[in-house]
Amino acid sequence: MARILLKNLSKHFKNVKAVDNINLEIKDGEFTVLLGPSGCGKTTTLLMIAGIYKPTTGGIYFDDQIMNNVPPKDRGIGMVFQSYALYPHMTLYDNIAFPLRAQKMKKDEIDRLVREVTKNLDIGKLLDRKPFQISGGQQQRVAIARALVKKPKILLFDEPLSNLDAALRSYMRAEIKKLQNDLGITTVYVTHDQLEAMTMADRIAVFSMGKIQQYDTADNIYNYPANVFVATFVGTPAMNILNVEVKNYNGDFYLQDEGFKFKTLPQRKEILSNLVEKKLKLGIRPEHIRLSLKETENSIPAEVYVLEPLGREVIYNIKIGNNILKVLTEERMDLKPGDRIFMDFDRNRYHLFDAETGKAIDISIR
Amino acid sequence: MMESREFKLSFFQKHGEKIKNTIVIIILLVISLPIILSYLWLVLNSFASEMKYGIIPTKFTLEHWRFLIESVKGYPNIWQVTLNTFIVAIMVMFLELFITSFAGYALSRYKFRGRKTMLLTILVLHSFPSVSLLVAVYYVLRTLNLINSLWGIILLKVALEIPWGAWIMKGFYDQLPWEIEWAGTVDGYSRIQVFFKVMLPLVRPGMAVTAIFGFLSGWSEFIFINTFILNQQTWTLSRYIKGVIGDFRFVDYGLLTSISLFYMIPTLVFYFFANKYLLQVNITGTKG
Ligand SMILES: Nc1ncnc2c1ncn2[C@@H]1O[C@H](COP(=O)(O)OP(=O)(O)O)[C@@H](O)[C@H]1O
Ligand SMILES: [Mg+2]
Repeated sequence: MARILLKNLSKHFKNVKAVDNINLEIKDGEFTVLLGPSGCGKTTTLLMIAGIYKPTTGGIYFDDQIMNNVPPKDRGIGMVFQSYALYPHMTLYDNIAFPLRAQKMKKDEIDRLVREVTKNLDIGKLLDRKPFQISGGQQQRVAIARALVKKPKILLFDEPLSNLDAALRSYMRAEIKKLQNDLGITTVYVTHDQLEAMTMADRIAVFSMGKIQQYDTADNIYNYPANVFVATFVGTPAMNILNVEVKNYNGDFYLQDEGFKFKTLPQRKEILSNLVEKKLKLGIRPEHIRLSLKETENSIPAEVYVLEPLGREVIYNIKIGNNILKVLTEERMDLKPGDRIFMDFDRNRYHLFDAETGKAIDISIR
Repeated sequence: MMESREFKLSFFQKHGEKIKNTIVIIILLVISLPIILSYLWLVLNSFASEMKYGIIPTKFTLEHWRFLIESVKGYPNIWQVTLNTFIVAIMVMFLELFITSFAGYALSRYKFRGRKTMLLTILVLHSFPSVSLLVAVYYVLRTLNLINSLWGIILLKVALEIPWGAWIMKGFYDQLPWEIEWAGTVDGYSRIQVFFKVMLPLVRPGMAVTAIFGFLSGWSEFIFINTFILNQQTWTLSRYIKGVIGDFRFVDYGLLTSISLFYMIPTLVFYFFANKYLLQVNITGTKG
């Protein structure tokens, strides 16, 4: 088993900074997900950990050993690629045995290990076939078997589920997580799907533009996003963001823009008094907004824009000022576009960000 | 009334595809008729002792194929000549295959300075006729003491075929995703091991194509042999045929046709086994 440490790691392609000075520590046995939109440097990071790309600057350590100049074959890693990258000219058996043959293992030992790893993955009966003769889901499991068979210290996954249909994806999500749990192998898993990240990861590193925006547990990333990017990238529907300013009316502090103003809790007076007249962004998660037909204390008027029923829940799109907010609730209200309603939100669960830098402002009450 | 009209419509709908295909086949047949007929004539003539009006065979004979058993007067032994032709064709094939398997990989996988220029130059060079090189090549061969030697011809042909072969092999390597190569290195092999165990087996169709082109270009080589091979013992079949046609003696059409057919056999056999690979050739240009 191994701990992975990335220290001031960068990778430049000509003038593209694919990975820009990242620092990351992945503890022994931990399941870490690299999450971010396409082109943000996740795969490049993974390929540097694998030894396929050489870093432009910075260091890669497994445990306390520097790995920068160790070739991929000597790094003790197993990897599952997005395209599965099975060898088309070999049977599934030979595909899975391939890493063992590299170690000059005895024939019956190879056979034992191949049978063992394929038993759990439910592909034991297919081993005589070639990759093009099996389904995408089966190919994926062969790729996982090939990565696992040599008992690697580190497992790397690059968007392994993105080519599967939704049902299979949800099934494999749980399977991979269970597998990793049982084996306890340090795992780095790349995806652009935040649902995968939230459900599988011990810790998530959120990437954007070659930089790590936040590295934390799924809960902390969701509840305490470090900046606007993380706040809006994680969670569906995305967090609502409004441009606001803090105003002081007779000792009461308000978050205000054209068309609305929200009164804040008196406990935050001290924090908010430092932010008066500053340009801010207010972030509210869709599930923290309440709608009602009658006006209540602190609620503000809004207009129904459109409805998106999801079966169990409904997304109400409402308009305040020039902004459209998404509201997620299980409550059924007899509304149609154009109806007047009132909205309010949980005054303990909102986020403020610096409008210029996008960084979160700590408004927790101590 | 209505019914019969409907029937007529559906008749054409049902058979429209077939009719179209038949028409296409007939057109193709008509266009290629001259070629087919001339080959037919070649076959008939080689087994006939007399041709009425020059086209209708009247008497069967194996006389024209006697060259297989005994040397024709004034010409070298046919089997010696055939062996020479095979040596040239097969050596060109193997050397070209060996070198382009590596060169195509390098062109596909490595980014080096001048790569793009090189790829374009290869294409331009290939379109020069080899006649334009004769004088320069003569000096090179003479310096290397390879005039009148099959090895000179082989090296010359290989040198001229490599660029084109490398380009074809590059196209096949380009189709292999990087991920497969990476998977091999992660699985515990060095890059050169991955090349032999994974990449080479996957470009087998490309190797087949290169082999065919190499073999055929060696088999059909004429200009260099005609120019640089003076000794009858080192003739190849193309030179032999030229001898039959070009002598001041009376042209023996029977011998000419049978030996031409003999010359074509390996080509036909090669195409027969290889045409499925030829369809896979994919020339991908200088991108990537
Ligand atoms: N081999 C390469 N050559 C040039 N640019 C590359 C190469 N690989 C990746 N890039 C660039 O680096 C950036 C990050 O790519 P990548 O790591 O593949 O992103 P992700 O996996 O997050 O989608 C992209 O802008 C991409 O175009
Ligand atoms: Mg990627």
